Amino acid sequence: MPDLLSHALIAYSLATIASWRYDWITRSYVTAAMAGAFIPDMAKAALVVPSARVEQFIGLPFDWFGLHTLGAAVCSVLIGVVLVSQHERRRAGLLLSLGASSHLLADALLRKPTGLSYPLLWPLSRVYPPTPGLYLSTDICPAVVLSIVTVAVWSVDKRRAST
Amino acid sequence: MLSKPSQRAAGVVVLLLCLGGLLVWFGSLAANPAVGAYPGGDELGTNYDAHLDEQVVVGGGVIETEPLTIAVEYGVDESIELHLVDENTQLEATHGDHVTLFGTAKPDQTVIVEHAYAVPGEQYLYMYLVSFSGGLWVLTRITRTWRFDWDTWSLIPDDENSVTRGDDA
Repeated sequence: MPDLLSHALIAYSLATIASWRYDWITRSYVTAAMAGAFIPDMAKAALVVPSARVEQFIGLPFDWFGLHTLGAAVCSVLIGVVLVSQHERRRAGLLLSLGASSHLLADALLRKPTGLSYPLLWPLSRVYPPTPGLYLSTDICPAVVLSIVTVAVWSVDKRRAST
Repeated sequence: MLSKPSQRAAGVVVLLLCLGGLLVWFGSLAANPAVGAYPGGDELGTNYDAHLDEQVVVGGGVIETEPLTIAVEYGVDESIELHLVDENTQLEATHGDHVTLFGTAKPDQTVIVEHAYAVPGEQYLYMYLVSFSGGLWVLTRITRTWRFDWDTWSLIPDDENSVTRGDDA
């Protein structure tokens, strides 16, 4: 979707709702989903060090946007999986994947002038699927709507925890 | 598997190399309109005339409104000025707006617009600020709900240390 806050809100809500069904999804795992939602936006490193500058430095073609695809998301999730202790790996992998895929899917709905989104399944496929064009990354509306949804989820969660 | 610190480190290095390889591979992909990868700022900036009569996707800040002209950044601190001819979309853009468009490249760095939209510059500032706060939220939660275990060199959940679940969404 739009901004990173919206992505974090989506991941928080999805993981919290899942925790109502699966007891093992504790606060730590909700965080893992939010960290997963962070992954594709590592491509924003381009704002600090433009891809062209990296190309110049390493002498090879380079594009940060590759991080915003399925292949890079799988690699990044696996890094997280290797970093956690052995008993946590399956669970951490699941929640990181939930967050990363919610990010890629929400961004596939972004408005584009071509009516086509971006190659989210790369390197499996380079096709840019059509997008309904629901919002722009700069819109304020998504963060407002998602904040309301998140507060609702949070208050239900709190009520469940106290009973 | 991958439970010793050295194995863990090796695993991370291999995965980082894979990630780097993917970014190099992605960067080497040429424009391919058949799948939706239209030429963009980099292609036009490097050699505009090679793309005449092709459909292109570019974005840039408005530097002039009569005629509507945007500066498209590419490469390392370079930019190309494009004049936009907009007959159908009734695009209303003022100085400082960011215009994103799909159109056809014509001679004299003129692009015939098919679809376009303009976003005021301040909206980008909003996006960066809100994204930054989102990033801080996630980082704070990571440090509060996971901890690094020096015995096993791994990250482990730290639920005991945190307040009851959901307390600080």
